[in-house]
Amino acid sequence: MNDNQIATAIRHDAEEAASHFPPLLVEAERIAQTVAAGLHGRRRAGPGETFWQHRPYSFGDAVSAIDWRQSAREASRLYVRENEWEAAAAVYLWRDPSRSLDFASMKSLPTKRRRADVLSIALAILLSQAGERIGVLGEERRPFHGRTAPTRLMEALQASAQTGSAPPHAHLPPGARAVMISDFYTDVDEVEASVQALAATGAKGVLIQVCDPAEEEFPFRGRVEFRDLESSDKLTFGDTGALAGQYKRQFAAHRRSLEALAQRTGWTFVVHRTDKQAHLALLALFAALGDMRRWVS
Amino acid sequence: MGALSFTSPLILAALLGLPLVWWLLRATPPAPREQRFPAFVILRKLINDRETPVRTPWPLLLLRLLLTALVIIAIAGPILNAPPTTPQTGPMLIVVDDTYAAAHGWRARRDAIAAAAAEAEQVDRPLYLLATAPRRNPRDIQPMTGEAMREAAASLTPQPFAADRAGAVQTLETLADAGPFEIRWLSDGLAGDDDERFSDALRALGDVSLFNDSRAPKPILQAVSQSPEGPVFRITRLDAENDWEGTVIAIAQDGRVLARSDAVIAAGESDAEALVELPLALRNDIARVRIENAVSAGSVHLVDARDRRALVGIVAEAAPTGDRLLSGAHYVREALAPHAEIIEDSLPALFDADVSVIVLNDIGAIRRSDVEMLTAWIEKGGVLIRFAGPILAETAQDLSPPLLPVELRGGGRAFGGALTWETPQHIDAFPSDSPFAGLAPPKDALVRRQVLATPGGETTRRSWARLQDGTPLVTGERIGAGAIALFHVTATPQWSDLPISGTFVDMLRRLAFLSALGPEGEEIDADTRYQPVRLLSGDGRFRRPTQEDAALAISDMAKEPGPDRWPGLYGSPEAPLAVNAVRAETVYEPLQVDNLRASPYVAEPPQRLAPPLFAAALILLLIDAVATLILAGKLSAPRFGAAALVLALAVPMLPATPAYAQPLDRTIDAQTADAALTTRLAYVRTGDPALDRLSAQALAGLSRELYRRTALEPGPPAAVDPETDDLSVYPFLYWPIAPGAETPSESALANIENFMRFGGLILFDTRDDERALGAGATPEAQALQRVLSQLNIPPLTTVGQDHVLTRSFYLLTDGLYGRLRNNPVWVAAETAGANDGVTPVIIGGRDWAGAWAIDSFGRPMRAMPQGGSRELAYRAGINMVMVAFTGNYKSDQVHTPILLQRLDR
Repeated sequence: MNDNQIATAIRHDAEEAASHFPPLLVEAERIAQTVAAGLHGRRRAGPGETFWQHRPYSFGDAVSAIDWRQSAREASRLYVRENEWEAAAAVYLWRDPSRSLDFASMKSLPTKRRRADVLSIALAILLSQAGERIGVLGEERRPFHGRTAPTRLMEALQASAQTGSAPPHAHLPPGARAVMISDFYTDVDEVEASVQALAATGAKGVLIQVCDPAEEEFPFRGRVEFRDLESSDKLTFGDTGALAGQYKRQFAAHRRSLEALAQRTGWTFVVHRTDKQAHLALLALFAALGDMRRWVS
Repeated sequence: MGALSFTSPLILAALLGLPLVWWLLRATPPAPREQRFPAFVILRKLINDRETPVRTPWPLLLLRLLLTALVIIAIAGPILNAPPTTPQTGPMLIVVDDTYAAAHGWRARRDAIAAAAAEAEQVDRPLYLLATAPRRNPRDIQPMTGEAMREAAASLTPQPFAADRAGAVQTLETLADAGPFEIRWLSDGLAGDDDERFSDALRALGDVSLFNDSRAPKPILQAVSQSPEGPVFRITRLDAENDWEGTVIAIAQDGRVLARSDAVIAAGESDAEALVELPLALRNDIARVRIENAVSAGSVHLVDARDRRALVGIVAEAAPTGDRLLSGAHYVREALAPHAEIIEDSLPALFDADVSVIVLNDIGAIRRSDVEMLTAWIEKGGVLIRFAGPILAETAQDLSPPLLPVELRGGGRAFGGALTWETPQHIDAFPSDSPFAGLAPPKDALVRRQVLATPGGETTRRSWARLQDGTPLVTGERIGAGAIALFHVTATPQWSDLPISGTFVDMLRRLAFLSALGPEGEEIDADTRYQPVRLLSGDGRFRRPTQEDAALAISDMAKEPGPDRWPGLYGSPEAPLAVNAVRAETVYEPLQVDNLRASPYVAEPPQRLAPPLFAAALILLLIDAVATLILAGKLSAPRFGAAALVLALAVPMLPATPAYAQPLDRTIDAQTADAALTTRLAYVRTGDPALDRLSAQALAGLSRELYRRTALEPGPPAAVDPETDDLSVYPFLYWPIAPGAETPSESALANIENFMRFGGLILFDTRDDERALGAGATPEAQALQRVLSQLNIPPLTTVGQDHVLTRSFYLLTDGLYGRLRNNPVWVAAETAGANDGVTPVIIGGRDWAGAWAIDSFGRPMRAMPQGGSRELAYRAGINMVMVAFTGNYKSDQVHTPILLQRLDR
């Protein structure tokens, strides 16, 4: 395979992956619409992209800030163009890239990855409408903002080189928020290490556990050979029906430890099942992120 | 069902291992279902305290055991009706009864010989063949190879004789040194004289296996007797276990079937009689009688000319006086004509003709020499019928005439006259001991005059019919084998109404039957040898005699048939003498040989059972696989069930075109209906797309010109296939012949012939005009010949100057132009007659289609050659179509001037 062919193959894969974007976007936007009502901007001058006001030049202003066209209208005054202040706050998103999300127990249900993607993009849409920035946790790139932010976030998630089901250890700028979307089927300690590192910098955040109903309810019986999605591990149980109670206890314990972690760090833990509607999770997420205006200070 | 055997029975011992398989299968749990599951972190923490493997469900276990057993049995190679292995290696002797009884299943014997030859050939065993039917020049029995044996078997045909087992014993004695043999006796199942001796001789030579088709009925036909209604035959069959039903058919010399008679032999009976009911007038036409569908010389009875019906002689009266209604001979002739041959001649001539009945009508005095001859003849079996009359009455008055059953009183007795007071008498019921017993006396017949017998016991006894007053009407006396009968009235209606009543006919018939004198009585020259005319082969067919077939004397014919007395017809073809393969006294009984086990010829073919067993095992394997998949969760049971249901429903629907019997009136398809409603030209589809397209375009062009120029307004042309389409709705068929065209099937040919017979016109175009100059036929011409050779085509002639084709619409002085015009065009000669002499075919190679063809814009498709004229080709086409539609109408018009001229004259 020469380079050309590899490039072609990559492009083909990328196009195939991107073909899912528009419906994903549409779905995310639809869900975002139900939540977005009632949000508003900063309403004060500051660094931003949209025009906010002209004010007379005062000492200390940069010459480049002078709006020459406006100043030319009056003989003796110079005006400085001020843009509306845009949120300094940013939300950093981590969506579990591991293969354990590629699972749906029934055909009628979406995979956990799709639900996670929908939630991510919907969040991105909401945040970009609110003028916030959204970035990918653990990536060096600057957060995205503006109308293109959802698309770019999506691309960034797709192109992310991250692997593993544990969240990365990353440093966030002060006042930033973190959102982790995953099934958290990993050692709680790994999650805790990451969350503690973030919390240490003062970042607040939300953990969203996306689960398939089958994972909660364990509706199996008989002799079943379970295969891990991430490794080639297999586990065979002779009588799975009898194990359901034990499984549920273990599952609840796992969840409780995640909840405990959230409580210790002041984060929020949200549980979402793929058989529930996505906007419920989005609302919970938004509520957890709290009032945006509070972040301004 | 024959015996079941295994090619390798030892493998069956593996069945003992089935319990082990059972134990193994029970120990092995079924494959788990696979489930992808993300929450592995939690699963790892589970404590698997109950690893109780689910046992394989027992139906599945049973299924697998069955599968294993099936495979083991199939590998062991079960065979039904396996041929017995032949351990013998010595020479093989095949004894064939090639007799008429064997003709019924000759193929089975031939197959048996071929099978034996093939078997012996494998190990190079010498083969001997002994045919037991008597031979004209028996040959020594020699060892043969398998190939020679097959040839010998192919040339062996059943002979119309019974087996000569005594002769065969002698032949067997010459083989004593060559044995021991493996002997296969392909018997005919017919008992003979020396069966035991023969089987002993066979057993002395080696192991004998007897083949006997004892279940075949193999009926034979024997003549029994002649009844008044017709000849009676006896059908004897060998197998008496089942009902036998068959038909006896009487066939005339020219092959007509004269009569059929159904015969049934009930189970347990060995024979039945069949009466071939036939009017006497037809009885003499019977040349042979056979059992329908039986192929054996024994089931054919050849009718000897000597069996034919009575010959009645009437002694001629001196000279017929005036009206023939006044002649008594006329009434006798009319009465007997349907039932007998009648000769009217002088007495000596009648004796020469070997008549069996002689009628003397009112003859009184007979010469002494004649009386002696008549008496001798009567004693041999002749029947003399005399009628009274004025002459006899006159003679009886003076002296007692000879050859009368009773003494007559002179004169006559008249009733109802002016001077008598007795009234005319009716006829009384016939006495039960008279030959007329059972006949109904005519109610309306009155006897007005009679001659009277001298009363007495003798007269009473000899009265075969009386009047109601007891006086005799017919007296008779049996003398020797024959009889004399005297009607006491005239043969004319003068004395009584009897001759014009139906009873008269019956009475004369009964009397004629009294005669013991058949033609067999004729002692023709015992020394004359009669040449064979047609001889019977063993399968009941005729063959031409060869030089070897001997001429026979009468005395030979009565003996048992043999190679020197070959069954068949001898003498003159008109009145042949017959030698039958089965004589009336032939005993026909099944072969009974002790100490030999008989087996049927047609053994059921060996049937290998392994393939169906393997197939069953495969199906079980599939079921097992599906069940395992369902259990392992790979296949959801409801989904699979739905698919299987759909499949099960769909499979029987596959042959969705049920074959219905064609109704007698075929439904008319749309194309035919269209063609019937709108007249159109048609061309025969050749299968060559380019040629077919050209034909369509040509007929479209011609149709357009017809529309433009004539009153005919044809629809768009149709393509027809003579195999399937109804041609009767098309008046004109253009048939381009493609090189290498297939000869149409029989049904197509019949279709085409019908088309031509009922007025259709076919234009055969070979389109090879420019090439058909040399002597050799072009491929198209060869194809045409192949087609025409199957058809009933009238004699052909070239289209002449004044043929109706040249003037049916246009006057074409130059003949029928096509695209080419080098060779003549052929049509049916006008003398052919059918369809008013309108030709049903036009045959040529002028590529008319090429000249007529136009495309959808009306532009010609093919260029015309130098000197050709498209216009003239269209005119020729229009003329042809006109002939197809109007026939010889214009041909009649051709003669109008001559007719007018004639009218003027």
